[in-house]
Amino acid sequence: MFIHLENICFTYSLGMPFETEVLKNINLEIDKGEFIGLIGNTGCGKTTLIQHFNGLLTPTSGKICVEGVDLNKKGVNLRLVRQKIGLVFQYPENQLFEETIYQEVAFGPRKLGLPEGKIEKRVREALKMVDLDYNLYAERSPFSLSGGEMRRVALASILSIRPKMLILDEPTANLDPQGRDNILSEIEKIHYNFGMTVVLVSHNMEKIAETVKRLLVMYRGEIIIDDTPQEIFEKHANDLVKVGLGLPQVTECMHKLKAKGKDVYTGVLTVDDAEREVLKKMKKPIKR
Amino acid sequence: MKDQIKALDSINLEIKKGDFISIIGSNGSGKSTLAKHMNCLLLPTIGDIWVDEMNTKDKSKTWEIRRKVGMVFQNPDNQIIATTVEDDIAFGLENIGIKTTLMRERVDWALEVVEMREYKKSEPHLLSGGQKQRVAIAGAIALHSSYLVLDEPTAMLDPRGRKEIVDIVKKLNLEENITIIYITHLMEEAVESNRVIVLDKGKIALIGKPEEVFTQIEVLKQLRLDVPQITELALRLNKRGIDISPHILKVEDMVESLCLYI
Amino acid sequence: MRILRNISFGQYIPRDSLIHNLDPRIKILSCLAIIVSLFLITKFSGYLILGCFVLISIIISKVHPKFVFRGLRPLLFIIIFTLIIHLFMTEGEVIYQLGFLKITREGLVKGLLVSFRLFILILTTSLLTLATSPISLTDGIERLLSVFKFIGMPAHEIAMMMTIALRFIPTLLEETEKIMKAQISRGADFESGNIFNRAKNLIPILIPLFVNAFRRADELAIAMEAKCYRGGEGRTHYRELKIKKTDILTFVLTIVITITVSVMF
Repeated sequence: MFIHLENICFTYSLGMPFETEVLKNINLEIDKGEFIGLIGNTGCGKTTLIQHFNGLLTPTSGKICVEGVDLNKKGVNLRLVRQKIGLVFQYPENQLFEETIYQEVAFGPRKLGLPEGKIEKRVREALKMVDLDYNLYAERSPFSLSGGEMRRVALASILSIRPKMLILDEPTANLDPQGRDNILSEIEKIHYNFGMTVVLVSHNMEKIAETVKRLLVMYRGEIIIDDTPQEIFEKHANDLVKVGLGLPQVTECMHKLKAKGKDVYTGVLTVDDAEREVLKKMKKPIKR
Repeated sequence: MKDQIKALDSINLEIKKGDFISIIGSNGSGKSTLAKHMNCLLLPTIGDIWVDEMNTKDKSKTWEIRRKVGMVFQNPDNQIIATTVEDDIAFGLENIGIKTTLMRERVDWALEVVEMREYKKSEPHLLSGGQKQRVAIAGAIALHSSYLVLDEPTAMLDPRGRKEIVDIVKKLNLEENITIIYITHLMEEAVESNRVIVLDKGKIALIGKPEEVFTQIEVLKQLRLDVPQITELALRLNKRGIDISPHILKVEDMVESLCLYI
Repeated sequence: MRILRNISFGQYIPRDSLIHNLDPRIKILSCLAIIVSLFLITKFSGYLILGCFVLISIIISKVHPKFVFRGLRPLLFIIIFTLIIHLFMTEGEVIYQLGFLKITREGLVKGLLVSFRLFILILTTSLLTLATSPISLTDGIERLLSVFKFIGMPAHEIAMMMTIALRFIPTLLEETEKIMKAQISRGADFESGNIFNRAKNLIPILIPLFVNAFRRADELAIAMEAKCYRGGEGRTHYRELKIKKTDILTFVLTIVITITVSVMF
């Protein structure tokens, strides 16, 4: 077990008039090699939750263990934990600051005190992971890039720390469909090729559900559903709608058919799934 | 300038009063540039833009055009100027020199339209993204603009915020008869409009009713744009010889058609 | 990791009181009158009267004195420092001697006077900002400054800058916190090292913050232009300021008191 959360509660401005309970009794286990989606509307506490994973926030009560180490114990080196858990913030392109992309990606390894030779190796490796050509990009300014490219550099600057787990907060926010597909396919590659544990945090199902293997749905500071995307779409569709998340069109279509008394499988994620299901359930032979 | 980039390339377009148009296209297709031409924020290098018989190049008409064409931008944080909701909505009215008593009426009316009356005195930074965008919309329509250009107003919002904005925009079009020019890359939002324009490299690639545009799946995919899932499903089933219209855009219509077969 | 949330700005405390409902121009001018007279008074009794006047105003404002005195805390050091400097540095009749340090009667008197002056000054300005919302404060400043328009005072521009600054302070604080956390996640360290290193470590925060602020400014300028903004000319005001009877009475009272104490003490 990689990360283990036990009864995590978190309250902002404790004891102040603006006191707000952001996380309520969260229990969660994440294993090595998992590919997880964390879905919920803005303000549901998902960003607060992931900031607990690498010790940026300390829970008001409860216990967090990363590889068996309790983060709240005195003397725990949080910098080591942050090296293990790479956290990519929302709009990470807004944190770039170096003169060249090389320096930007080298920032993390340099802070680890690695020798220059090793740093260069890591920069090359990280840029390759996000599909940016080292020779073309290394000496360019990060501010000369397009939005999608800047985001990939920001991702590379986390990958160069060689984390064991990657958490991405809204990695597709504000990208066009092409940019979104690119970054998702890179994340998929990183997961499958390097066995990276990945948590994708998002406020919309758009593509996330078909990418991940396990989906956590958060609502008002609680994890209300934890299951595979198929199971969730099949069994918890109503809950998703109720918390304002909505369903993919094809899933909605299947549910509406089912509501009309048709016997269809509702756990469809993609157009492919839906097409297969419809063809399977066709009563009459195809005719025009 | 040495490197001249043609952001827009011979666009011919006529928008009728009361219409609801959506513009889609990937980043860099010229959507925002086109939007900024509609209220004199940018002027065309070649060609002319007319708003209600006024040429945007006519300097004496700039303010009248800007009053008539309201704009809402993508980032809700970067277009709210004042420290309370009511003051922000009044900002445009103050600029065009409206009398205070009339201003109060307009602010109240605009707040009512975007359903934000109870937030009149709130501070903007405490609102949700969807609420902030509604304040921005209210600030634009308070000027009694006849056209509203929205440049990816939902790009930074969650599904709930998106729905809020789409609902308000539809209402503005139907009840207040405001002409809408809606820029987005979310197909499920574009489907709500009367006419869809697909931009690519500064040119109009496709134009037509949503059911005409979204059935051009090959073209859309080539432009690396999304296709509504339900339309893609309809097309695929149609290709397999099933008698389902390839022009389906809404889930309800698909369910109805499928009921005949399953 | 919530350093920035503790910074409170725009400390306005909404209450329904006489002080709150005064016209901001009257409040600003009264404050100025008090401040000017503070520098004219030379006797304790004058400070006592003026102090009482300010204290009574605090009570009328219904703002808990705790909030008013909180404004003193960061400046307490300065008050004590001036007091000490005056105590030891003024020549005159020695009343206490400790080695080469000696306290003189004149020093004691002067030190206490200066401390009182600072003390009342801070109380007055705290009360002004506590009982006036930032918006009406800006409005008041704009109207007052526009009197000097004929010598080229950009009254509207100054007020607009203040409004935008107030509007963006919470946004920028939030952003600073976010960038800090993001850089910590990338291995940055803001807590150790000597002063020079710490300053250097701020670069990863400051550069993104500036880059983003410039981008925001750019977008905001476009949004303002789209809303027909073209400077202060021909602009009307959503918030009308009207001088009421209480405003006149308050102002007259303040002026009478300040002039009296300035002349007599």
